[in-house]
Amino acid sequence: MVSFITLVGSLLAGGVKVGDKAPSFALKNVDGSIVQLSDFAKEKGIILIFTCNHCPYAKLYEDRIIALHKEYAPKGFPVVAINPNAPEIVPEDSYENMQRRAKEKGYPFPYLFDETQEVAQAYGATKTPHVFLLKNEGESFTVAYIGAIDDSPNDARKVRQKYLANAITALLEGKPVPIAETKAVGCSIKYRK
Amino acid sequence: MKGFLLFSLAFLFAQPLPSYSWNAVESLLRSPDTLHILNFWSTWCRPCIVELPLLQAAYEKLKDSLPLRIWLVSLDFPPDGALQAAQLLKKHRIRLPALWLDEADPNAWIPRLNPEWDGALPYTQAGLKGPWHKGSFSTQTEVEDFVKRAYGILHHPRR
Repeated sequence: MVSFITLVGSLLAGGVKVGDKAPSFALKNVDGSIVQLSDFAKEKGIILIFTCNHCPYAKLYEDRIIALHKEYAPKGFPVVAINPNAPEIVPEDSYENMQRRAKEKGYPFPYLFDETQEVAQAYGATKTPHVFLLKNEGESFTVAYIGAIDDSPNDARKVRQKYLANAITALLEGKPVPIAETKAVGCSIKYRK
Repeated sequence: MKGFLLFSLAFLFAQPLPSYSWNAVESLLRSPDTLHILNFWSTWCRPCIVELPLLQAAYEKLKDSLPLRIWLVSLDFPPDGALQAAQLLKKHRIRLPALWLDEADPNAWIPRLNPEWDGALPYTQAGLKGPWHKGSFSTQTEVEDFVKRAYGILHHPRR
């Protein structure tokens, strides 16, 4: 019975776990350039966030994601945002609308379009926002943390647990990440069937 | 005309959904003879709204043959989420029992429901230990099959 239940639950299997090697990517940024994982070889890591324009949860986190980049990019952990949604399902998440949103908000980080959805599938991203903190191991990147940005999506003033920031701080101090996986409610990624 | 206008605006007078802590939700599910299905949704989740009528129709079809309750658990944002959710349900004429989950941090309750669900909406689960369905249902039959399967597993465990 247990195995049957697991089977029902594992529809979207695949993706990475904490400790796995981070899948590489090369995607189009809102400025037209191609941004790839290997571009960040000199950084200590990357805050990879699957996000999008339309999702109310993603909107609630826009300013917090900008603040994260401003705080942690100088310390070696820049943000890389990726929109994995199919625009024929959610027109608000088209490449043109991504460009518009990045300009309006003055995104200081790359905002990439995962047009084929292959990168989101390789990581096993299921929702927006969905964070994968990557650690530079020299030859490659590994996944150090997966989940939420913090414990209060609704209200930035009521945050008590900064899950992502705590994980970055641990990496910067050379310590193990205290909580390497958290749950986050979000909009499911609109995958083509 | 007047009657039509009143009817079509009736959803504006909806009462907010009752708010429940996760503990309160768990205590709702403690009647062992009933098959409780929890559907997690929100007004800003488009696929959630699309499947609401499928859940309602499946419930109508199965309620006489199974001891079934389908709960709609809204994850809308405070302070107006409970009201917006109630208005949407009224507008779409969804009569399934509904509640608003008053929990800020998903990490406080999702692991108690199912550690394998990562929080993407919509999400449906039978009771606290039953089978689950990630993502939306695309047909009424799919909902019915899920309910029947859950009933088979939870109420008539096969050896």
